[in-house]
Amino acid sequence: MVRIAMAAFSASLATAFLAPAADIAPRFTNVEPPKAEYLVHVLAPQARCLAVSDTLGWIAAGHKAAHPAQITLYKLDPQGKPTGAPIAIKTPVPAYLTPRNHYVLGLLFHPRLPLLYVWQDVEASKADPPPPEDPAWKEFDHLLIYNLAATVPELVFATARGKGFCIGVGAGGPAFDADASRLYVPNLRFGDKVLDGSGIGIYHLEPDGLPMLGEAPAADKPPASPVDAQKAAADRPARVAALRAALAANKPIGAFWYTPINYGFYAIPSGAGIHPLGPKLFIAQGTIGIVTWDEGSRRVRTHVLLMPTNMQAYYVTRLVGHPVLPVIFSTAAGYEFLYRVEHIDGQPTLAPQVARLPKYTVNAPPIVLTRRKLVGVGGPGVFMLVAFDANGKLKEEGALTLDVPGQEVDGYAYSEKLDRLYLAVEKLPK
Amino acid sequence: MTWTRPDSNWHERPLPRGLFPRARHPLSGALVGIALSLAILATPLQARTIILTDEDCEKMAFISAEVPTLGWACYEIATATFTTSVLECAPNKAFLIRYPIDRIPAGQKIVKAELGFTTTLQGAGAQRLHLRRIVGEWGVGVCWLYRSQRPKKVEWTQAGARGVSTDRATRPSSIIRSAAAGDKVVNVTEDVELWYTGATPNQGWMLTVEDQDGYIRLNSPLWPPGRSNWKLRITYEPE
Repeated sequence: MVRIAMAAFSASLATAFLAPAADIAPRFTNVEPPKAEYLVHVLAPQARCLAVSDTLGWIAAGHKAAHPAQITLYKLDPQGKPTGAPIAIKTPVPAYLTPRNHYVLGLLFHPRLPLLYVWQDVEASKADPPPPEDPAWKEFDHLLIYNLAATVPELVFATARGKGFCIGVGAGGPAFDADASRLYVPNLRFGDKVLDGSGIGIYHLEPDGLPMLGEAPAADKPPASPVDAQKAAADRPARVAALRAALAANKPIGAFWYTPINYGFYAIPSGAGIHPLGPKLFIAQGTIGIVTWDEGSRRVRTHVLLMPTNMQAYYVTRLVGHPVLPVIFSTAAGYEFLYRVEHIDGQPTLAPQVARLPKYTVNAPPIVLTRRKLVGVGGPGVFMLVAFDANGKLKEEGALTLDVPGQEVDGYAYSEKLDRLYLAVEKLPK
Repeated sequence: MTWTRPDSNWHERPLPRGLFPRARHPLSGALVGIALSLAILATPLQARTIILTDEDCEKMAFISAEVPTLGWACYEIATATFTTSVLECAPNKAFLIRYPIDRIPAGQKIVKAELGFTTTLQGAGAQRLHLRRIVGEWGVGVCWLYRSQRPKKVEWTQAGARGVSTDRATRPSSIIRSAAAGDKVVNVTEDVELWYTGATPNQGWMLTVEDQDGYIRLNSPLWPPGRSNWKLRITYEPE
């Protein structure tokens, strides 16, 4: 009897839960800043987002609600280091909305022209009960376009107001398609007094970087030729006047198109990561997963890939698309996972690869350091980098952590031209 | 937040009764424990069991004739809107999954292998699921039309991996009869043995419903209730 018991006991001991293989546990090495020669700290307290322009030599930080200015701009020297005094920008907000703070959710530089696109938001009303019609719907513009060629950055155009855009959202940012002829915007709003759903919108742009008037061009029409910055600047006053006249007459601008109310974007945020692949074909952060939207497909217009997460609380994804490889990198904000999803023309294929991170991830989407084959995401007091191979597959070796003590690392960006990783910090390290 | 595996007691087996006899003397339990430990150390392990789950699987897909180019055509939650929250098995659909069994060391004999998963809903009356070995490589871009699309498109012999002996094994490894929703356990010892010995390349399985009007809903590995729910338990011992 004892021998039977021993055999059974040893068999029980021998049952093994092996570490999952498709799930990987990257081995992280901590790197001290001086050794990460590609790292640049950007003094930008309370940064929520960061954007860098490879062509213009600017870096911009969008700040959280507590910061007195909504944007801080730095010029970059030829080595990609911030230089000169920072330029603080207070974005417009109707006076009657105070004391509600407004803040920047996302920033985007035009790839060729000296224009900065800003997606901003304002805190939700704290009134109890909240008003059925939010006063912010009247005159708060979410989309701002700044001219950076002026002596002082100049707001040239503002739009995206009304109850068709959500208020008080915590994430979401604009994105361009490959030739900057379409500007994708997040956090659309459906519903009257109650939010029925969210979505993604598209403004069609002229080569001068401003929304077009009239009908959208045919999807198969090649994009118009770029215009140079001087011509765009010369034509801008007339263009802006025409756009404002159209808005005053309640006419649409930018041939604005948006996703109809749907399951993929049934709550906010929508668009904390937008990866355009073609006319009205894109992958975007949806309520609980990665959404592939293909307006041209009758049979599969929307596909939602839920993220394999052992859910302890409701999770919301963030994502970034590799600019070349057919791969999406995603996180579930607040969880310690990084996902890699391969796609075929936008549709996910095979099992997502799951990498375990040492710390939970923050609000901002991951970024791709293309020249270093690293994907990075911020965490509490740390920026985490995982290596990937030529196919974008995450690897266990080569993972790094960069300490940024005393803050959640929410503002980060990468310059492919200069191979620089920018991290927004509360204080510059000594 | 830390990641933890969800509980599942499917794989747990209670320890045999009498292993730890009730102590009659304060020291007797300790003496029994010491004796057992020494006996265990002296006796080589006879068998070992590993449990692989969907978390181990790089290759999974759900293909459907209705959306022939989609690799995760799991559930049409609204018109032209698909999600991966559940796997809706019906005619002209299939769930594909491949477990990496290369973790079993060389020189072993497969004693037993069981595939476990959970069904959550089914059509009226008894339903049947067919489990078959997949034949031939499949991979990136797998869908109803193609077994892979990258680096180049390769079609199934018959769309939906239905080519007998060319896309899937001639006969099912098992026909799982389901009277009601719940946990299912399938003996797949023969298949795992074929793969382990190299008699057949391991290309995984496909699960289908082949009865007209048949319908079974399975837990999806891409949604928390289903994550790590798909278990392959393999017991092996030295030859």
